Amino acid sequence: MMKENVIALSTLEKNHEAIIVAVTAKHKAAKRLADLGLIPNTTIKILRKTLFCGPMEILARGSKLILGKSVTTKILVKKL
Amino acid sequence: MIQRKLNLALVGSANVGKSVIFNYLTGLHQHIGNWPGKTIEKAEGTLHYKGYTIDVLDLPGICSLSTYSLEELITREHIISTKPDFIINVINAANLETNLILTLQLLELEKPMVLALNMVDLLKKNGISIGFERLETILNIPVVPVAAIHGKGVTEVLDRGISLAYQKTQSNTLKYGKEVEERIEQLDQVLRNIESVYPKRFIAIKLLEKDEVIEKLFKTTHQEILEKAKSLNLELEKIHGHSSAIVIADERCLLASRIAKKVMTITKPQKISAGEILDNLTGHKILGYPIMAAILGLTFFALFKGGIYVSSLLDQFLTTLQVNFYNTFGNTLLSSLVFSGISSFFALLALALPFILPFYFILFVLEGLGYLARVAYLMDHFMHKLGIHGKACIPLILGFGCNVPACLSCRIMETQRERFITGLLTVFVPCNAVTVIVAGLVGKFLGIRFAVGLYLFVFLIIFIIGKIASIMTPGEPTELIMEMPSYKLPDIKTISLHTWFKLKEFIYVASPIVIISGIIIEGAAAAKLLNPINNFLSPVTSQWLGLPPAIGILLFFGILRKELILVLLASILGTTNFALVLTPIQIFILALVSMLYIPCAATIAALSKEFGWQKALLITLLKISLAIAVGGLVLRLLNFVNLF
Repeated sequence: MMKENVIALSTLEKNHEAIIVAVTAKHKAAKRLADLGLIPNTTIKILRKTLFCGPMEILARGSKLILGKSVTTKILVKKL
Repeated sequence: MIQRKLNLALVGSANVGKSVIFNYLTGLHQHIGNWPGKTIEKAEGTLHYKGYTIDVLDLPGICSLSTYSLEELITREHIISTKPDFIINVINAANLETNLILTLQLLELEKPMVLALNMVDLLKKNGISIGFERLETILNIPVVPVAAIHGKGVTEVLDRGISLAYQKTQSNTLKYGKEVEERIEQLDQVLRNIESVYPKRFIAIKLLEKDEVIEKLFKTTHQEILEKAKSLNLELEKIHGHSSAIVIADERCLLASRIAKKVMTITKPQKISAGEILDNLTGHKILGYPIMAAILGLTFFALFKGGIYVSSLLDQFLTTLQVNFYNTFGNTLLSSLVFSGISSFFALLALALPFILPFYFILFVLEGLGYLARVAYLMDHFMHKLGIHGKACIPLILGFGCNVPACLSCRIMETQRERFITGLLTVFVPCNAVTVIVAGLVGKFLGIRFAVGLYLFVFLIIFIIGKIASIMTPGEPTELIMEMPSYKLPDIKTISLHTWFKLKEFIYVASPIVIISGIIIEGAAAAKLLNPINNFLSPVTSQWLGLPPAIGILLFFGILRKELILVLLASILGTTNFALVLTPIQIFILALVSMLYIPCAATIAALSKEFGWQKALLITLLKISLAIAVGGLVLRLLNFVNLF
């Protein structure tokens, strides 16, 4: 796995697909993300993104989730 | 003898239709209160079914059984301490994989449980099919397909739950990965001689998750157990490179994923559904905003127009009642005090029926549809500027209708910090009564431009207060992480019941303080205290704010009900053409001060219910001093620039 390929989820655009490499959020948020199924090796798809790089809506494990920007910058992914 | 009384608890995450099932089961036989000492809603009800009396408890929506939120802790403690005869775990069949993560945690509690797979009617449309029997075999608990909105499957859930209540609980056979299971086994060994209300395996897993509540159980008595857990946690952390709590969460996630893969098949490639088209429009990064403005704007406009009409009908009725009352009881001090109590209650009804009731109804429709989650999504970026996240939009929107339900709805925010900041901001949102004043004073006599300007000015103040509050309130902002519900038709029965119970709560919270303050104000008038009050306030009202001294009493009455300021202004000044007796600047300042100066009595009651009386007092004093300061400064500014 090449290190350069790993980027923050927040940098992806609509319809991009990616696989989670690591979650660097603080403990509480990381736990909540894991409870919603966002753990390493999970494939996700960006459904939409707001203007101003605000929150994004993603599809993971068949569920739709909204993640604020402070979260998406802390989820590291590899673009598929 | 057969036990004929049962109690069951509904557990599940938000947006799975748990409350639809609850309302289907209990109808009007329900009671909504708070968990003792907590501002978290507790919905209980009773059901008579096949000779059983079943107490139904709707536990708060959660997505995990850890202890990060009060809701999670309440759910866990309730299941452990009151031992429901059976649990119904409601999950959204379309989100099987994610929802199973919670189900796996509930299974760890080893209580009789039925899995209600709700919204199966929508599966076909989504191109998913689920092997229910297969799932039942894997989980080793009854699995029932349910379409709660049509009442389908709910009785089967009950039947299977009831028969479960009389059986011995079957143990859970699901296993996590080897590394984790080995350590659970090791902890089981040290826990062998421990007596506890919690199942052993549950304790072991929670110790690996570093659960503070479980750790506390052993803190003083069994330090060796904690030592053991600590060393095992370190081992796990060494292997995986992150906290053992996350390791366990990952394990559950993987297990849920494996189960879901075994039972779920995608039957056809997914077509774009109507919901998705709607989603693309309402969540669109540009179009989403005008659509939101249109939906909310139209809602407010309709509510406002309709509300004023119905409200005037109620006022007419009150006038008739007043004449009859004084004709019957005579005009004595006692009768006028009694009547002021009655009319205060009517004032409350005149707010509750025409404004609050339809407002709640429409809000619940928007919520049931799933639109409010889209609003939170669209507004998150702006809300972050105020130090809170997108969900805070909902109380703020409510605030335009009435500040009371807005304050009560702040509990949707996750932390105390978020709740307080949101609560503080909602009381600055101009409610419908304030809109009446602004429209009747500024809109009518100075023009719509100035009314809009006044609103923008108040929004600016809200923004500044949000900024300051988010810096001054300790703690870090919570990130927005929420499930986005799919668009669906709301269940009108559930919405009607919710509206009804919320309306009752509103009257219950607000009426005592509104009636009492109504009587006190009438008493002050009878004791000829009004002129002294005017004189007492005149340094502020006339000298600093430049208003006629008689306004003092109005501001006093306005505490009870803001629109009284406008109503009584006419009777005090002897004309409804305010332009004859007030200068344009006075009109503008009076409206501005009315917007800012104090939360109404009912709002103060709601604030103190949600945040305690100290914080309610703090917010009240803040508003009063802010109104005085801003009013005086704007007056001097207006005089200086000579705008009018």
